[in-house]
Amino acid sequence: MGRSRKLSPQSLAVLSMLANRPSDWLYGLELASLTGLKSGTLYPILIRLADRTLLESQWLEPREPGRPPRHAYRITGAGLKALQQASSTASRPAKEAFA
Amino acid sequence: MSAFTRALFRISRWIAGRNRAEWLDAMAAEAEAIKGDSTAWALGCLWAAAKDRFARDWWFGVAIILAPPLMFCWKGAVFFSTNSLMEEHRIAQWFAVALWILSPFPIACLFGQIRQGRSLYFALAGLFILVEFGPILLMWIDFGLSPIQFFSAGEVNWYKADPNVRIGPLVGITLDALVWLAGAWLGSFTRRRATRLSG
Repeated sequence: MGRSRKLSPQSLAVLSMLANRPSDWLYGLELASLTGLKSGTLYPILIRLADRTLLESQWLEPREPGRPPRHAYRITGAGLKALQQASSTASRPAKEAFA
Repeated sequence: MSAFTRALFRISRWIAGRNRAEWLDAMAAEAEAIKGDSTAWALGCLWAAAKDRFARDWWFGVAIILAPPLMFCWKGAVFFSTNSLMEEHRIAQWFAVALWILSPFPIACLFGQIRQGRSLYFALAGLFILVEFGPILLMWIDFGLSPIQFFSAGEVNWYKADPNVRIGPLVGITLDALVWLAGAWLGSFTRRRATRLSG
């Protein structure tokens, strides 16, 4: 049921940022600065996207010693597909209007 | 991370529940990575934890929002109904005061039925502080009555009964806390018993 739910513009922004670097793992702070979203908006989105398997997450060892491991995120194949579908749906009314 | 930020993450962890523990660790790890003040980030995480929890367990939000007014209404109903009976000399003062002391018992018991473990006692402690000290705060704001006067050495009227029933603030708060704890424990115990019997 949740899988068919439409993605919000903020969720699409997060997916787009991840899709720009599909092979990279991005941290929460990086995503927050790239999308301009605050932690209170970003994390519910990340949780929802992970629940829908549109992104995957893993713990990465820190670059600086003495720091805790950090959670990083990467877009999945399903996430790329959902993003493509969302952008084609968004551009369809405009194309129809000009047809 | 400051002690305040750590406290915010502890509260967020409790609100989010065990299912989201990994996500809270992820948010806290990012707060550790922030070079400057991470309070704003932690406040956002608190908001995120609450939003996610309310979306998953609608009753959790309803319980948190409705519990304080429910408790106030219930305590008020017991107080005013028994107070009028007491003034008409239809019930003894000690009996009315005993009912006021025991009045939170069923609500605490109900809480014990719907929540278990540490989260029950955290929620109950929050509600207890609100119900016990909220009216004092309101009287300070509305009527300018200093909160100190409720805790002065000569104060023996915690339940606002006739001075014949002498109960000071320390004894009153302790009695109230014991009633709340007993109610929550009974609710929790009966639920565990029922689960064991049905399982």
